[in-house]
Amino acid sequence: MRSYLAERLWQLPAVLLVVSGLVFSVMHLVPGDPAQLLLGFENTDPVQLERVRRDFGLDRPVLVQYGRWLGRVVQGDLGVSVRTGRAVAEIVSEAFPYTVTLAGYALALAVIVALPLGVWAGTTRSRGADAVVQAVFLIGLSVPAFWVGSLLILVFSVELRWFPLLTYPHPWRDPLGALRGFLLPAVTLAIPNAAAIARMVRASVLAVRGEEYVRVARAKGLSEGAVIRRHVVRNALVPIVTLIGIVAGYLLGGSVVVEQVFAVPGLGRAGLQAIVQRDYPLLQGVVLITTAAFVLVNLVVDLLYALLDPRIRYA
Amino acid sequence: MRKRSILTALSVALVAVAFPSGAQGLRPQPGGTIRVGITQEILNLDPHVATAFSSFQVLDLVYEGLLRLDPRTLRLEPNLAESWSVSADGLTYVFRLRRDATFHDGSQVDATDVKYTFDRILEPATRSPQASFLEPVREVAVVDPFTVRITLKRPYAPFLALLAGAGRGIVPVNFEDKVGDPRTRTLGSGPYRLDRFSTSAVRLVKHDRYWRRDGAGVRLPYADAVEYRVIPDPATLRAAVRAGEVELIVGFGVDVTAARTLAGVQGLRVQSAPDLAYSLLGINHERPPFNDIRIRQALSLAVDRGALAQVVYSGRAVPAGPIPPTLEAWQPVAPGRLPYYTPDRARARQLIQQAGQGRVSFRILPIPTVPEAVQMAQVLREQLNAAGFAVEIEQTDFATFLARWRGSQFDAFVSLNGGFVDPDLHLYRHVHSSGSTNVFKFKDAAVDALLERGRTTTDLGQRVRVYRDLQVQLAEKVPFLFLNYADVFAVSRTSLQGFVLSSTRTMTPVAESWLAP
Amino acid sequence: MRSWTPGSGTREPRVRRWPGKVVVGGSVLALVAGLALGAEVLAPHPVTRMDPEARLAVPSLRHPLGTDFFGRDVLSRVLVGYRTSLAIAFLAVGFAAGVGTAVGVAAGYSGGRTDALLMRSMDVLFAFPVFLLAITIVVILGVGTATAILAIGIVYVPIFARIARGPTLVVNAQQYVEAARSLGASSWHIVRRHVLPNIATPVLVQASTNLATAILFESALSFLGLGVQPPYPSLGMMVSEGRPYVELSPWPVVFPGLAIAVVVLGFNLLGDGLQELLDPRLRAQRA
Repeated sequence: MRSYLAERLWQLPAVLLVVSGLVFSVMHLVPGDPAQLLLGFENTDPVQLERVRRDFGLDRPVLVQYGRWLGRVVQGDLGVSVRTGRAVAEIVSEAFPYTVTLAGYALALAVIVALPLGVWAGTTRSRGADAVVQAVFLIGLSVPAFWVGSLLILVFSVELRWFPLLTYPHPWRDPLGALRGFLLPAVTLAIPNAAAIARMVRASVLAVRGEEYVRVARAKGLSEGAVIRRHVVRNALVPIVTLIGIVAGYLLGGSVVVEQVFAVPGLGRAGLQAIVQRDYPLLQGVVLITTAAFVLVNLVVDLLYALLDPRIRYA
Repeated sequence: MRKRSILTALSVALVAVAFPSGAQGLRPQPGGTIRVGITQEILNLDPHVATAFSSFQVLDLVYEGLLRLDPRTLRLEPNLAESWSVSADGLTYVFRLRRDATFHDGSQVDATDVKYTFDRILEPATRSPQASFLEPVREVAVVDPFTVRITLKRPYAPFLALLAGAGRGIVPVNFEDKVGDPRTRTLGSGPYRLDRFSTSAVRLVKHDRYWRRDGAGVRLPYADAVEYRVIPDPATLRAAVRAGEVELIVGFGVDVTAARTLAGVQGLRVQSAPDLAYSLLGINHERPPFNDIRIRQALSLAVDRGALAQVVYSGRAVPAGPIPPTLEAWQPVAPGRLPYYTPDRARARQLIQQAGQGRVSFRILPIPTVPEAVQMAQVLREQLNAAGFAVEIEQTDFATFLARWRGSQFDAFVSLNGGFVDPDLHLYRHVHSSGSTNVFKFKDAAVDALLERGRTTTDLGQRVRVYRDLQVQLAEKVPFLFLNYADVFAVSRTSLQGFVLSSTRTMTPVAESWLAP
Repeated sequence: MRSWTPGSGTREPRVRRWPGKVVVGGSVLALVAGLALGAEVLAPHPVTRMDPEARLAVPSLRHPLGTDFFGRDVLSRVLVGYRTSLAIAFLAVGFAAGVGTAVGVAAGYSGGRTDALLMRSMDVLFAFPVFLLAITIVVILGVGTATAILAIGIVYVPIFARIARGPTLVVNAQQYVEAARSLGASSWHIVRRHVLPNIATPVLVQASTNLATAILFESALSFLGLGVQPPYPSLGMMVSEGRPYVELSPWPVVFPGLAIAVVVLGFNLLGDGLQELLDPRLRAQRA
């Protein structure tokens, strides 16, 4: 177990190295010049352009740029954003809490709604009810997020004024305020994920219900409720946890669309800005932190498997 | 509060909404925080280096120039300089500074600061986009602590107009040593100073010793703080002002749709002003077919600027000649009287045929940062294709657009050119063969000569005549297509009093705005 | 943007009868595909024709689904938009399924270092923030339908690689495969005869899910102005183009939105149904 953990953790820097190399080679392909973006439309002096390139080391070969960047990162310095002159670490650490909070609420909402609904749909004896719930899941999967987001804003922030817009307090300093502030974007993010998780829960529950040991348990005279709780749900959990892990990983990457619609200053928007502005140090910073989050969440999921299913052992 | 808007039925309704309590003579209330919603990220706060419109939406309140434009009349008026004189040969300018202006650190604004500011802008290491505008400056001399003399290399008629605005804002001596990084920290003399900065939210607080007073002698600004919130999605921006999360939305994304959807909403006030900026269809003179003047003239005849204004701006725009209709003093020629301006598809086809071209095909790049650009491109495509062109649209992201624009790697593009109150600043850089933003590669000796004359002549009457000639020449030679001057809009909650939307889009009136209880 | 369907096992399908979901989903999709293919004939107006007199018009006989901001016919644009959106979805998912399956099979069949190398590189692609990946690809290749296809396709590749690899590993270890190999069967023969039939079903099920998400993915790209080139419509582009004016007229958004919902529903129903068909345990035994 411990050696497995060590190996997985050791893989993290390797993945990050490859990802950062990928970003660097990609930025070599992207048209558009960060130096020109910095100077804008008015300043057209080629000498000045060269000066900016030199100042940011953009005149060097890509490999040299990568090497220098890597050298600094190893020392814990993510560099300086070309466009704003602010430290990348500062920008990223400003944006990350918003994304984490939003992802946390969205995931919690999705799971809280999806688990009982999915189990119920998978165990109900009413075909009609099952069909209705399934239709709801499918509708949840088929509406674009920016559309749902706009609708929620108009109804709940503008007309009813139940929830504030643009107010995203820190979740530890103001837990209640944060819940209110993040609720609408969290719901927007949660809807398709809740639907996906619920579908998975229903399917897994159905699959497990047909298994031998469940029939045995039922034959032993256990109540249906106990059968579902002790046997069905427990055994259906592995694929569900897998999916939840994947969803969590994506949410931590920051949702560009939802952050854009709700004006949440999170990682997704920072990443979008970085691409649009060709702010490569910032893009590297955003990609590194989201990739790391993704890998770590998946590691946690793998460890959860062992807790859920004693048959799984990591040697 | 008088607005200079085109009186369509809509704006009459808007005016009625705009003055609900004007007659009651509300007295300005001090205190409170004015929250402003904008759509673009705030990237750089160095007044001499910043290029983004969103940066200046903040900087307008932090830095001040020697002069300023009255937001309503667009006339030059004293600011940090309380008076000035110009020598007869137009080469020497002497400015007398006001003595009660202070920077946010409490130090007085004096002549050495002015000299330092010009030196900083002109210093290549600063990389200031303003440097090319101030290129004619030979020397800035300190005469006494409150008198500055600026000598020019040659007469430069638009010079005074250049001294207004935060882009040439006065900074203290050794500015960079004092602030550290001027991209993220500020030290100016404006009504507000920086309190908090991130790309998505900026907070300014009142400069307690700001010099300007209102008509009743009360020290400005009224509000304690101004907060900018970046709300990238225009629909959310509109929702924010409706929900009362911000008091004012202004700038990109606050368009005619915002005006139409928010007009008549309880508690909101919609203002508009004719823009100095104009939309254009840029063309590349080095690429066929636009190296042929007949094709360019056919292009101008094939475009129906009035219909374009109807569709894209719902009628809140006018066909554009080279000089904005707002600048009456410069006698803008009405588009209906400019050559090749009245739409005529038959003649356009004829000209294309004469040029020996079959179906002229090209691509239009709309600038992605201006939401109307892609709409204009779609309407232009329909209009041009109906007149015998074969046009397709090529969307790109902004950095790609900028790179191709800069390198003249385009057939045609749709964009917005910023406007100026002086025709030289408005036109020279775009259409002079050596103009800094002549990415069209337009070269014409007669146009160059007129531009030179207009720039070096100091007599106003003569200049007006020069620019009358130039307007006709530009319409005939078609360096690019001037399309529309649209209205700009601002929507505020009625609790925000005293804000005036200017054609220059300046934010300085925020200092004279207050929050009604 | 990516979504998973529960991995089904490697068992052979035991077809009894077509589940209702397959029938309903299939008919919906057949109808939609018919509309899309016949778009040119069925559309009452040219998709780019603007009618300045009838901008943001409500549904009428002349314009059964109303008109958009430019006065273009929404019905015609929905029909042609269907074709673009379906083409993007099918080609993107086809690309992802083809490349992903090839990678997954190669990894599972070869094992060892090749397996590790291929799958770790898939992990890297998987870990890369999806939307940023897609945007970057669009920025490199330029906005357009072909780019959207490739961007969405690349994002989906690792999913199919993972789906294909598991069953390949299982089949590879079977005795009959060992036997075939010892009899001198070529790798290609073994893959074709034994591996592909076993992974076809999970790949198909996954593909039906991703077809649905691909349509939504394209709409998100369009939201950022990185979808298809105007004035040609896709469903996602229509929704994002009409959204700013939704308070003035909801029709240019409502109808393409509904059209998206219908086709996504169809794909999901088909996917669910296929899964039940292949994994009878999923068919609920109702009392």
